[in-house]
Amino acid sequence: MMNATTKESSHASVSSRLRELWNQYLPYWLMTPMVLVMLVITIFPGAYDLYLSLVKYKMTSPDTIGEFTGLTNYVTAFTEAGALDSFVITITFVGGALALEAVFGFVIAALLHGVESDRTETFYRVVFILPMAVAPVTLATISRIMLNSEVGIIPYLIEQLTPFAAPVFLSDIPLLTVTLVDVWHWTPFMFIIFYAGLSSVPQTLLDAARVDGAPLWRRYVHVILPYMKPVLFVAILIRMIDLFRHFGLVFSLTRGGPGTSTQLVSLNIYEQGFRFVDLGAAAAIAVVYLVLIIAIANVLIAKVGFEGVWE
Amino acid sequence: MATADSEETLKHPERRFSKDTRNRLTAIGRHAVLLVWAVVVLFPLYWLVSMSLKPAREAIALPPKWLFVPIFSNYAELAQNGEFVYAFFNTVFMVSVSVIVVLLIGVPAAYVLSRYDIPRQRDVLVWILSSRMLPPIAVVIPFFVIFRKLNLFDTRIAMMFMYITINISLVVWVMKAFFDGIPETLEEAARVDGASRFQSFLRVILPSAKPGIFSVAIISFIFAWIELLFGLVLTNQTATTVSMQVYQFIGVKQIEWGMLAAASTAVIVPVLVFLIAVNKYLAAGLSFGVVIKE
Amino acid sequence: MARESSRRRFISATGLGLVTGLAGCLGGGDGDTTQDTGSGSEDNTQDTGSGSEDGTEDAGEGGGDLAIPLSEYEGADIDWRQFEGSEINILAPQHPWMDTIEPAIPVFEELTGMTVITNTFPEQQFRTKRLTDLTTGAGEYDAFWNVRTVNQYRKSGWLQPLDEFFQDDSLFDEKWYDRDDLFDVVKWRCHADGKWDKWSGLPLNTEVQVQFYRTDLYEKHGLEVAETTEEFIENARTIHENESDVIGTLGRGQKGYGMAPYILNTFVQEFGANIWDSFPDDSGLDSEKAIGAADFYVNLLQDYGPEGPGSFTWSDVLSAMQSGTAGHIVSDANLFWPGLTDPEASDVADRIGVAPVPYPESGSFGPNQSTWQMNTSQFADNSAGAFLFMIWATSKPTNNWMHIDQGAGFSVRRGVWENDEFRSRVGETYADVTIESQEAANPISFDENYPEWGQKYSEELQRAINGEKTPTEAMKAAASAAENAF
Repeated sequence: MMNATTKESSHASVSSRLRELWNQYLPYWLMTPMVLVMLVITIFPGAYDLYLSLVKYKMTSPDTIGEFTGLTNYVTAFTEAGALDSFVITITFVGGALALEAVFGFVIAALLHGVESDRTETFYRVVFILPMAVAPVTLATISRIMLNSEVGIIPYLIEQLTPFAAPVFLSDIPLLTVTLVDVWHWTPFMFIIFYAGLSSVPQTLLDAARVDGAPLWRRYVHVILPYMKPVLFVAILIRMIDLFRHFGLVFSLTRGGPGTSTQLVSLNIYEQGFRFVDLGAAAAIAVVYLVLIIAIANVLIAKVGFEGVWE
Repeated sequence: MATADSEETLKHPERRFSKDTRNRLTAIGRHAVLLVWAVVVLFPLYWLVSMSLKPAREAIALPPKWLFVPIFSNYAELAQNGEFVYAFFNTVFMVSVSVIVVLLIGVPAAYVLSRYDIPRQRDVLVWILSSRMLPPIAVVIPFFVIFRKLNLFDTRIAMMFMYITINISLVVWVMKAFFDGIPETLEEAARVDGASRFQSFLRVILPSAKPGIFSVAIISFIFAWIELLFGLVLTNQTATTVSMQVYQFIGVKQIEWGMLAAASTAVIVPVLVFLIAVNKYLAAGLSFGVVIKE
Repeated sequence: MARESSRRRFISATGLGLVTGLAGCLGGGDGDTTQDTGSGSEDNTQDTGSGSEDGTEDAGEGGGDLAIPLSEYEGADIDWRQFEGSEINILAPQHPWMDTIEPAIPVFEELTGMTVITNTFPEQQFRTKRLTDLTTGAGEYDAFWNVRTVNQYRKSGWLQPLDEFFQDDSLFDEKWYDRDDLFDVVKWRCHADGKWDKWSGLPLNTEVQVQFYRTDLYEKHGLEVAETTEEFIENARTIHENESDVIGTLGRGQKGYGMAPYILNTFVQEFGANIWDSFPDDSGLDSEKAIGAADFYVNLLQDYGPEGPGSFTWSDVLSAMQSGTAGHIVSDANLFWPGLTDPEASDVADRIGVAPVPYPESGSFGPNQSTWQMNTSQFADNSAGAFLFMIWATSKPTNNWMHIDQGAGFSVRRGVWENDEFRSRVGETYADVTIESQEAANPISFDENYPEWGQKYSEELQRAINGEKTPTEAMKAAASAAENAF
């Protein structure tokens, strides 16, 4: 506005008019590209899956493809033996991995944040992020061989270095094993965000707390954590959603086995669609799954987000 | 120091250690935990790298050869593997562009969501998140169909778009959280000095959100970099991705451990480079705490 | 993954003289590799065919450089050049067959004037890619590989039968091609596992199950190669109990319709049971004999197998055998042979023996067999061109070259297995065992719902191998899963 007074040429007035429009509708300009992208990536797949879930789409019965079938696909998908078990397995996996990743991520971020030497800090920071960079199928392939009961290095080391017999990871404790591998892979995600969150806590706040003589834990509980709440919440929420749609690592590690003990819902979707070629049933699971996750996210956002974190 | 110590002991007689000792113990404990975690993280990576440097039959031999003469033939072969090299640089290009674009789109939107009253804000936020809720396997087929119709199948544009879709919700949500943490007083101070809202966003808010921005950039880069399914289904040759190429060493009747390990190691390198490049920004906290203190 | 372009890139990257002519088709992005020096050993063969890249004979090079002389194909009464200028796009898994034929593809391109683009992926990714292409009717691929899902695809109406191409005189010459030279079991596979009166595809390889054992341990403990399962248990026990770091036997235990059931099916039939007593109402998996087979396999792995046998995939089985930690592989693809006897990859390369799979005294010999075939789809633009490629790739000259001049060992043609040169290269025993097993093979027919019930069957079997269920319970559950799939 203040710039507009300087010149009077028509050129200047056009540009100042534009600037005015820009400033006046600023939030719209800033939001539009994101909204456009979002429309494309939610509407197409969403509508497509919803449609598939309501029609017959078993490829081995080509004559009936496309016939409206109501909720039959949903019934098929959920009366399948083990369909409900896989929800329980998924929730166990998500809960376990999420808790471990959040705790480990926070602990190492907090510990590292207090390191004085810059060089040490840099070293650890880079190292701690690296696991994320390993592609999931590589990780699965390498983990399989490292955990193998006959030729694996990890059982070998356990037996050489400790008095314990190594468990047969993928047979005795499959769900725990895939959870731990995921923790190895994705704790860095929590770590980066928490670490950046800690770095954003104003030094003055910390100094003030230190002057009060508050012990470290109390500084965390009363000063740092409240300040970081939005960041903590977001990291956990996003990781939770990513864990829910997790596929590649578990699929390559165990194929959902032994039996169906690591059969995540996402593996069921894959099996229905890509093995049994029943795209309708696959879409039905996907739709139910989507609704379920939206519900969970909604509750979290309403209860934890709006009432706790953002107030 | 002596007085401080005695004061401490006076106030908390139950404490048997002096502050100095406690500090030292804390430091030792701190480094012990960090070291343990570093070993946990590095051991599989060490194993991966060592596999890539051993001859094929030693790659998975037990007991392992801890000391061995490294051979670099796997890397030499990899460097001559035209497909791999092409895909590698192709993916570096596609992912880098997509990260820049997703930040350009997502960061301003996050700012708006953090600072303005948006109607039905909660629904908007959930909607944004919902874009990462469908398993990729349920998303990829409609895009395959659409991209073929639009002649975008196997193009870099299409892949970059998919990379943006993977990361947009992450960028918006995480950056909103960081913006929420930046006190509005900062901006107000700038606006009092005559800056427009947008200018204060550029000059005040963005710099203070640097750790967040660079963290999100790294995560977005990695998410896109290791993405497999979209690269598999939506490309053929032109836009082929490096994570696809890693798997060319997993055969139907044989896994080439050395080459697989070499390729997987090579895939980590760009991330490492990126990490080192942006390292200093990750830790850069707010440098103007004074303003907040009021 | 696209090999055609890769080959070009590779050549340019290593700078092997083909600077001219090729540069045009390289496009950007590969300049990065120009540092070369000693080229990767096994890639050397790739140069041979490359002179002909553009189909033009540039002075002196070209024809003479081809891996197989064109004259080998000129005797055929086939109009090789009828699709000149067209492209065929092939989708394949990472399989030794692809690696072997790769350097000969320029021969086909030279012969026909067509361009071949091969896209190879690991098996899992390959399946995803194939199914995306077919379910959406995209028709991106003119030819694709198939095994075990042939009937699923046939029922879905995706397969283009090859009969009309066989009847077209310009595409096929029976006398030159000689279909009788193909193993019978392979031809049966190429009629959708005996379920179609039409040709579903042409066979690329044949693999039959055999047993592998450690010759050094056999000598040490004075063991004889087991003909029967009873003898086999004894051999596995002897090694398991007398060797401290070596387990008795390995076998696939992992879930997946191509994993554990692939091996168990051999024994189910050898024990005298049927997969189906009456298709599709009565599964034979819960018959007494089938349960006997499951008892044998499950107990064998639990008693004399590795720890956690239920997680072993084919690659774990192979790795463990290569590392010398096992006395046997009770039954698996004969194609493990090159991997097991390759001194670069195996610690026990010179100590591996091969023999037919054991069968019970009360039963009969009949190992399971598997064939990858090449299909073309209803959606493909160039099915006829793809057929020409299949004929060329599975013809006698190409097969001879792959197996006699190159290192392959999975020919679908009896003639190759009887060839002296081939036999001396792969070893007489291996060749004899393969032919014997091949001719006695009792292959499982994979029906259209096999991927569905086979998957559940594999889950149940894995539970039994893992000790969570008895074999009886598992086989009963598998049988009802099979019956419910229809």
